[in-house]
Amino acid sequence: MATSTMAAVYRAIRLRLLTFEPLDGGLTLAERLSGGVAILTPPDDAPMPYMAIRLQNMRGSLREQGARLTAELELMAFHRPRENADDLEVLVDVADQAMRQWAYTSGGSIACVAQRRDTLPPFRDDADPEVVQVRVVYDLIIRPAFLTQYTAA
Amino acid sequence: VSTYRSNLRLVAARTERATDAGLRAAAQQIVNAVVRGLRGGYKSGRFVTGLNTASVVSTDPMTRFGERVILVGTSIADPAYPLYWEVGHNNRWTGRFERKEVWGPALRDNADRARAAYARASKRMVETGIAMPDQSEAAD
Repeated sequence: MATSTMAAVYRAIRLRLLTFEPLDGGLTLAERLSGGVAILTPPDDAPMPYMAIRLQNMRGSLREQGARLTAELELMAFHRPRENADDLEVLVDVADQAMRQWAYTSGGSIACVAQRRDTLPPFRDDADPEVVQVRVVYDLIIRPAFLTQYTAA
Repeated sequence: VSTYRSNLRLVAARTERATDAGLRAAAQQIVNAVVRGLRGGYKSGRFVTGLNTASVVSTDPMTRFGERVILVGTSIADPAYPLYWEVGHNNRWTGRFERKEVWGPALRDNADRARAAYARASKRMVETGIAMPDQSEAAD
């Protein structure tokens, strides 16, 4: 079950991002990202381009008997050198399409309800100036199976 | 004969001042939290100069899209070291992806404290017309 643990939630999101097929018949992110989609932090030697995802600011409440979590999925996309900035935006476009109104409902649920996207200004000095970076935060509502199992129908 | 004199204008003005006083007090809580988070510097602490902590500032309250807001940020913009570390970057010297989040957690973890500071400061302004004393750590 895709939401039986929080690690499984991560895997479900990662699988969605990698395997989503754009409507225009374009390549999936699995085919486009040399470095794939890392969970939490990218490996130091990840080939560009790559993405990293992380859940943050997860909050529960008494709504829906405590089984409803709100969370932010931070997606960070990287490419290099700087002339690939346009390509990076296209990659993030695909991620946005994958997350757009996504609702995973096979055992628990994960739904994307909003997003914010920032193309970061070029870095320099200590930071590799040739790396281009886009940050997207998706607002998720997660009803994980490990919590929904305690709720009355 | 009785005369009615409206205090509506006075109430409206004091309410506006109360909103701004609340925003200033709330922002100061976030500024304090960020400054605490930046003490010790990034990575090893070798680069602590005080410049980073001294750069944490809040604006005056302003109207944006019809709402009163206040911004908390850094005056270090070129190069934007705080941004590099907050969102992560490929560090040329360590050859690794480096990140240390301070601003986001400071905001998230102190949101309740900021709301409470807003409530206290705005209430005081409404009731007395007097702003709260400086809540910055420097004023301690």
